[in-house]
Amino acid sequence: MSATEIIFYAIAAVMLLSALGVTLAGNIVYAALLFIATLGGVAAVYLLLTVEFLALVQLLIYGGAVVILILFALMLTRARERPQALFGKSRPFGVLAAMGLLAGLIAAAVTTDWVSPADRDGIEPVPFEAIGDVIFTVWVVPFIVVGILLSIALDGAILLATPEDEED
Amino acid sequence: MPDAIVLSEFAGIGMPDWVDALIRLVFIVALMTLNTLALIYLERKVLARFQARVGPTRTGPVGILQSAADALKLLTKEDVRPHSADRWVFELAVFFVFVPVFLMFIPIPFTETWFIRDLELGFLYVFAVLGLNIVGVIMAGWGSDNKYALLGGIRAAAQAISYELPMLLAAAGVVMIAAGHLLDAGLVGGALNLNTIVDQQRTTPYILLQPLGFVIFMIGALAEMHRPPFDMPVAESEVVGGYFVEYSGIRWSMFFLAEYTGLFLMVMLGSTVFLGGWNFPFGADAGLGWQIVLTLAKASAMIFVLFWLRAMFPRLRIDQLMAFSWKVLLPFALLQVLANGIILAYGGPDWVVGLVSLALLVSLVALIYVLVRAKAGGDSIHLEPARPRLVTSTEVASGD
Amino acid sequence: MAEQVVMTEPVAVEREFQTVDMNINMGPQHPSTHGVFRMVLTVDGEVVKDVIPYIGYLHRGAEKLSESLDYRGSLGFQDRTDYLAAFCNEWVHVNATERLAGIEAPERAEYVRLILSELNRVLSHLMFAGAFGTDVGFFGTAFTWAFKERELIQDYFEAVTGDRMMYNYFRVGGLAWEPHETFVEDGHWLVERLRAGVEDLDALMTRNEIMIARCRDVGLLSAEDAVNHGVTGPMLRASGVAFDLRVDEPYSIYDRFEWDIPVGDRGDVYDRFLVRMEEMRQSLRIVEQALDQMPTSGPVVAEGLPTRLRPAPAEIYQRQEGPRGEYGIYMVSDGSDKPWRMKVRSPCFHNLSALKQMTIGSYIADAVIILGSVDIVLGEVDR
Repeated sequence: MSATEIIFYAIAAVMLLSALGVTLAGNIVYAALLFIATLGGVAAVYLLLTVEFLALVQLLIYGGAVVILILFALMLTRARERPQALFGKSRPFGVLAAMGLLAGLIAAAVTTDWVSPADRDGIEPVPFEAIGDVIFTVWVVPFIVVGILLSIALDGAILLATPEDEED
Repeated sequence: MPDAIVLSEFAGIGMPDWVDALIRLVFIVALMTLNTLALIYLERKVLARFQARVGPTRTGPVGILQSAADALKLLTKEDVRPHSADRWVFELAVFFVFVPVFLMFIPIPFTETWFIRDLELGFLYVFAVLGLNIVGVIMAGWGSDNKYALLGGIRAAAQAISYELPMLLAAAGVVMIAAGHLLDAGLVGGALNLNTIVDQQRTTPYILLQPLGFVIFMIGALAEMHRPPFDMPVAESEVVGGYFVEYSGIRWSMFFLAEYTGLFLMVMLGSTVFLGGWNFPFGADAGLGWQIVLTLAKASAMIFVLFWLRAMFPRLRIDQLMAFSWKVLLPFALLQVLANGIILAYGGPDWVVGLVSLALLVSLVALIYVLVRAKAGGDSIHLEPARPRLVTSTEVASGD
Repeated sequence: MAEQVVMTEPVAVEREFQTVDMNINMGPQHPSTHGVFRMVLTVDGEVVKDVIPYIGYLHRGAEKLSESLDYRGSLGFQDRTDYLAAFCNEWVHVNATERLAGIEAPERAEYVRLILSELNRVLSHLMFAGAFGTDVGFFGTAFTWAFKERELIQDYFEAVTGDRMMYNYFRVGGLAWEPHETFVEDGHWLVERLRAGVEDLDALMTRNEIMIARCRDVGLLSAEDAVNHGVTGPMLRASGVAFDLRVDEPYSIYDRFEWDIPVGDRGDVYDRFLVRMEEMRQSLRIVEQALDQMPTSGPVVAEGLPTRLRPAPAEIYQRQEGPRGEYGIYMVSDGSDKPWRMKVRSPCFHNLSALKQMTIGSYIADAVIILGSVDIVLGEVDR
């Protein structure tokens, strides 16, 4: 086993364990913190695949996102005072969805024709300048549509969060 | 650009690349520890001058050993963990604050050839790692099981997320210009490399091209590092120290180390990106010695300004802080990026970029000034001549 | 047992996006409670929903103790109630006793008392400006600048009385001893220095944008509410009521001087700050005039005072304008050498009662500066 492989399996183990922890931890803050570990693992895998740009963006975006998640968890629950009922009535559906996703991923993993690590030198690194060029020329309309969609979602969130009228 | 000096050449022995990087990192940690001690001493002295005091005088000549004495005290102090604190979150939080700050030093060029690693995406890397810092802060806030700590942690998180965005956009403005220059030179990419950015500033530092960007960047840096007037997460008079209120001894000192190292990092970044780092005005020809002097002189000047701000400004309220970021800084940062894009796309010269940015900065300052004056609403007290009289109770009740 | 109590798990009421309120205990050991004051804030995020103040940590029974000592012996307690306005309180005490016993102090003593009390007002307001600066978040700069000037006043007081805080200098019927020889020259010098010092503080704080943003329209108190809560002093005047006991119930020799009362228009924290800053200038104006008018020679203590005061049975309420508001002493004499009853009406206790109304609905950071703007001295609230 090469050093790269050892590192990969170590990262994979961390990711798997922390992902399991996210679903099984009774404490919502633990779950959020373990989620950061999982996402950090994803970033590490990206680094291993020499797509540094994606790894950094992963950290930049998901780091902030998870912090917001923790904020919501703290604001909406008493995470410390009593354990959260993380498994509600919709548990069977959740299990079903997770199983479906897992099956799909396994199917994809089995059917994909993987490049062996030995051949990896032949693969060109992803040029992010090219991605930028393509996004702002060929895909500019979808890009703008996504932007509008996201700002609508943001406005909706603000509308939801604004108290309708002052209590008492 | 010449290649980076490899340590193995110094030592005369071969060593793997990662050992070399590790040695440099350890060197940075040691250097920054000393730097923190010096900064704390200097901050105390500078603040003391502003406050008509003399500062530390008793330990060593002019109190120069004060920081060392403090450090010694902290190291020997008992490391207390509150009984009800969440053990792992509480103890690990320190490292989540501490480690990212040092990791951020990796791409910072002290001189043309002195850095840990010359990262192609250095600028983005700094911001990505900066985001990790806040996880540690919120862990400390939540793990301490203290309401002041929790409030401080939440404030810090909200603040860091809000100010990251204008900062990133301010940085984007610089990167756009750098990319334009590189394109002119026939190069593609590399605009996110901090060393390349410095290399670009041989004659004009980017502060002249992006004054608004510089101001937004520094405001963001103040907010990210919890320096006054954005120090609500650690506000003494409100949350009594904020997220590290329950920490003591060596853990507390590690928070402090992270704080001052972060401060130094931010001014290094500012000096690199906006003030021309080792290059402007004569660094490129003057050799390494002058380059390090240039870098540090710029960084020191900025640190002095930060100390000055600390002495002269009260702190904002948390909602005002958020509003300032989202409603004032972010639109202006967006305008800046937009203006840069339009000018550069049509091949406008540099001075147009600088002028537009300056105009935006002036309008930003004017806007704040007008808003605050409108809020103050002129004189709201008036003088009534004091003539002896007797007021009846009905007269008082009617509000006089 | 009539009813069986069953402990059940708390059931979360299903409401969308319901945030959880939190109680925060501020004090008795908290940097911004100015002593041993405690308030429990109920907060929703950063917004204060409710505030419960707790007082009494500094209760020393000064009123009851005064009833077990003779009229002159209990004077020292007045230094220790409001320790930032010791001269003002002593003056109320000696004035009350003099009125009860029918004694009149000589004119020169009145001048000295007035000068010292007005300087004491400046001292107290300087302390306010410094502490308030710390509350707003000046990292100690306002505090040290204010204390630099306060130090000068204390030096002056030390030269007169021999003490820097607990002066115990006024006496029933006059003063303990003649003030030092350079009293008037030192006084003029001090007034000039203090003027410059107040302008320095003004330049640092008053026009600061962040200061305005923080203090303007925070902790509003209408004139009507202020009167209903029994609020007095600068707080009442900031709310728009030009009520000052020095004018509205003239005592001593205040009618001989020319000065103005600053009155606020909005009744917010910023107005309270401005009113106090202006009061310092006005006090210095009074002091300057008093130093000029003061007789150069003459007795400082009335002649023929009895060794033991035994006022005829009567009751009296003497109130005067302290730095924080109406400081009143109610005394009942039963003919013996000790007061039968002594009650202190302390301004902060009443001013503090408006705290809840001012604080609810503001932010945690506002709660701190609102409390700061009340300018409490716990020694006087708890007595």
